Amino acid sequence: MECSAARELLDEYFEGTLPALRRKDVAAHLAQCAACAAELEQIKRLTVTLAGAPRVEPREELLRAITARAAELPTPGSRWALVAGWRRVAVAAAAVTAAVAGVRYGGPMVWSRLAVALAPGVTWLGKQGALALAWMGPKVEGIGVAAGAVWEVVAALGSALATAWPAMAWYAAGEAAVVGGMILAIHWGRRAAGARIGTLVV
Amino acid sequence: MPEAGVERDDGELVRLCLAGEQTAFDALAARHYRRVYNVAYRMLGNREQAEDITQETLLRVYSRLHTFKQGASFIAWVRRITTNLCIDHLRRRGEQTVSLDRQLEAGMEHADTSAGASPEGRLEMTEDARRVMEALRRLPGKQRAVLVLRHVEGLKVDEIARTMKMPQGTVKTLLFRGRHAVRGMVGEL
Repeated sequence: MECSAARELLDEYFEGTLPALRRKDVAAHLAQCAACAAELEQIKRLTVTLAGAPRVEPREELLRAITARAAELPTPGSRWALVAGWRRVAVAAAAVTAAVAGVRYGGPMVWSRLAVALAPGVTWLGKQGALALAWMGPKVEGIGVAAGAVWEVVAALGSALATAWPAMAWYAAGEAAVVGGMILAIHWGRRAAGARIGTLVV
Repeated sequence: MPEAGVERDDGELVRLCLAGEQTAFDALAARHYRRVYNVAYRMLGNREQAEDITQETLLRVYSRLHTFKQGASFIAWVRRITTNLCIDHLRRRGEQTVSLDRQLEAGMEHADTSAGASPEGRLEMTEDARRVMEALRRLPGKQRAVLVLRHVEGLKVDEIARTMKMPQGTVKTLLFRGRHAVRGMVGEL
């Protein structure tokens, strides 16, 4: 057995919690390794020394202060205490719902109005660009005509996207917000309810 | 303190407390506050801060009592809360190390000296313990915490790992490094 492996096991060896076979391996290593034996000795001495350290007595007022303050708190597990916990969940849930509703319903409304306002402008700009390039066309031997056609396509796409993509984007954002809200609600719910699932909450 | 607390175990007191019997919590607090205080004092090295942590720990225990899993170890739960609060406290105060002679003197005034065979033996033990405790307080928070839990509280490696929510390998590494640091400061015991 290597020293590093033996030292990993020294605490459990000292505690007596090692399985018999491992214990035998460590004992064999300790018999021939002075450094690891010294390490074990240090563990023993530290334990004995600190076990002998006197316990410190707190002031008597401390206990009175604790019980007096506890008496002012709601009884643990009572409706009032649970309400205190669930109130946080309710606030969080309300905030998430408001955010989701805002994104899902408020967003498209705003965007559709913006789209209605902006789409003619985008289309107009595209057409102006196309006209300008078409006018330049003869001067630059055909390039202007092709560019004008491209601009026509851009203008059409701009017009279509101006109305279509906000709805798509906000739909995706709304779905993401719903999923995110659910994750947050579960997380906060578990915390507020004391995470009875699994181990204890500290 | 109520007589009931002397006979009833922690689990029963928890149940009574959840049923609204305030004296059951008084009994729980009376039973455990010294231990909580000592763990906090060993970790923080300061009586006032140890009192604050003791108070915070037990009030947190009270307000979260309904989350305590019946059948689990109450003291392990309390110890975990204490340790976490101490580590948070050390983090907040910047892991500062303190010279503790004055605090140690204050501590000795209240020390339980019933252990130990002879005055000489007790004095020698106390002096070694004093040097080690001083060295412990110069360690980083987590090393200090695992050494206190291991050598003062007598927890096993797996219990420390559960208490501090870290892998056993990490606990062993912290113990090894902490002990080496202590040996470097106080020499061989």
